[in-house]
Amino acid sequence: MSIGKENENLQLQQFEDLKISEIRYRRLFEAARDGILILDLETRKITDVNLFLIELLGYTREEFLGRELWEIGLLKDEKASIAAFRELAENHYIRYDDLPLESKNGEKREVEFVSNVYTENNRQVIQCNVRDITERMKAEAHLNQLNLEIERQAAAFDSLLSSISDMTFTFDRELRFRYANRSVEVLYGKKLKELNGQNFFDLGFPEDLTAKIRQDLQQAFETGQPVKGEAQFPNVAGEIGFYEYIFNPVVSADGSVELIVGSARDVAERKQAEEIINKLNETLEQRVVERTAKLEIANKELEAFSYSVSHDLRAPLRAIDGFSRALLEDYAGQIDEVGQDYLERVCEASANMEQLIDDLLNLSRLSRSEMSFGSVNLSAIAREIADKLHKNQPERKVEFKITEHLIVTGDNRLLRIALQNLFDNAWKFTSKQAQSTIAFGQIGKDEKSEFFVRDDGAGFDMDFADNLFGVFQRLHSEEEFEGTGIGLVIVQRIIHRHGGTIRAEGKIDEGATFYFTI
Amino acid sequence: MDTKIILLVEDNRNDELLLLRALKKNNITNPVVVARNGVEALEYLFSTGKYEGDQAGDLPQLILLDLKLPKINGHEVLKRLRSDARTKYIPVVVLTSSIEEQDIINSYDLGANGFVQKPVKFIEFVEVANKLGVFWLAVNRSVTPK
Repeated sequence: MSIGKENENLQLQQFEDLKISEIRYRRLFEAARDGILILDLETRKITDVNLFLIELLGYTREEFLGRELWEIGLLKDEKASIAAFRELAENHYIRYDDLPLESKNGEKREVEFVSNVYTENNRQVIQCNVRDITERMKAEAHLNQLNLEIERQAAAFDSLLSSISDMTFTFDRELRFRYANRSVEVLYGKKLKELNGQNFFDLGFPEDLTAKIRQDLQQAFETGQPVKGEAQFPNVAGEIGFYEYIFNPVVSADGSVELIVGSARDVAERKQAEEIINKLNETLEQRVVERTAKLEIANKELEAFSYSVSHDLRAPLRAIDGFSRALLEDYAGQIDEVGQDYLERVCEASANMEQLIDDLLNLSRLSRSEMSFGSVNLSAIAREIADKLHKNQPERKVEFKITEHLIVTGDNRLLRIALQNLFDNAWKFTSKQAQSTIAFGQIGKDEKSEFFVRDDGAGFDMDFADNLFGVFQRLHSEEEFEGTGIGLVIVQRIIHRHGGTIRAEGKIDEGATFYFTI
Repeated sequence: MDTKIILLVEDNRNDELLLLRALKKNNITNPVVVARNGVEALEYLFSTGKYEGDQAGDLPQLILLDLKLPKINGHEVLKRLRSDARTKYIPVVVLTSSIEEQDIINSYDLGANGFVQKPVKFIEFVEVANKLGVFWLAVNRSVTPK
């Protein structure tokens, strides 16, 4: 093979290679996802433009070719264009990070504009790479907005969390503070920024106090389950506080835990209260024993008093009656009728006083007697009492209306005494009438509903209803109706001992009704 | 004249007078020895103190015993005389103002033969004295201490 032939072959080969290179270049040029412009540095005219830029800006290839940049709005004006080209000539490089462009139909386009100068066949050409960053800019703007929103929300959360007295905080896996509200800051005396990133266990708390917290935090990280606990540790002033805390792990979609959200509350006051309650409970039993003993002593004293009343008050009465009688019997001749009447009155008065003493003693015994609770058939008791009243005074015309099956829980003996007194009263205060009715029943059916004993007798003036239950208070004279005025006091005491209440309603000459609960 | 002695243990002079009067009203003429406190009662029964040297034959047929007494109270008197062979069987009727259940129980526990409340009304007192006299001095048979 001759040299010439070889050269020819070589040239041919080189030509082929060039053609392939040209095709490759053209393919890259047209397929590029950036806009590319080729300009002549001297004439500043566009010599080539790729498809991407044509589509981006909406000009036809023909409209690009032979134009200057400012003519298609790529630069402000000719003056700016000349300045730019001068800079390019000097530096061979210009970069505009965000050059606002307008497409032919006026659409705004954010682009990154990079221009380089090359030498091509002894001519200097400029290649401008135009990257459409509109979407990126939009995304960035959106991101910025999101960031702002996040910051705003974080600030809001912070002020919200800092407005509560509980400590709130987050820990990362290294047990460092990622967030701490103001209460944490107050406790540790550190600024939030200082705490952020600080390891809780480097804050200088005694290891024995923090060991449990460390353990609980680790447990929350490992199990992904909330952990509650209590711990004591000192605040900035060195005061030991008692804290109740909860560590809530934030579990990611993959199940891992990167963050613990926690809160802690100073429960020192509550703990103190609990301690006091515990102590009180401990001493309560002791106090009950003491009180019971005191009560027993008081009861003994009361018994002694009753005994005294019984014994000591009776003796003089006996003397008064006895010697008045002796005068009447032995000296009747020397005392005129008026004197004898006086002596009779003395005897009568002493008899009254004896009755008063007996009543007081009964009342005192009632109050002191032990109660034995059981089922009590009030209807049956009422019936018995009524029968007995009838039997004692068969001449009286009294109709008893007794509701059957009124059964309560209470002390049989005491309730019998109460009913006896109420019925005795009703019997007594209807004694002036030719005919009368005494009723015993219940209003309503539930536990709290009242029982009543009603008569159609003498009644009373409601203005004095309060006096009914006073010791030795009477609303009628002794001449009208006898009695010492202790009966209703006894009834009231019995009702009270059963935890019930009693009240009376009445009207003069229209009867009285006593309502009570048990 | 009946010589069966009644020992009245009573510190209240009025009650003493009234009882004597009540006995008289019932024609009970037995001699009544009055002891005004528990010590005196025991001295009389056991011939000690101011009754030193008295004959055991003076022991009463019936003791009417008040409970609330100076120095040694009625229950104590009862206890002591019941624990002594000489006085063990003498009928003792407690005669007192009290009707406290505990007093009644204690009295019987200590060996009282009866428990009677002194009535306030003299008419009733006379009635009580009558019944006591009739029963304990006439109807009842007691053991004569040796």
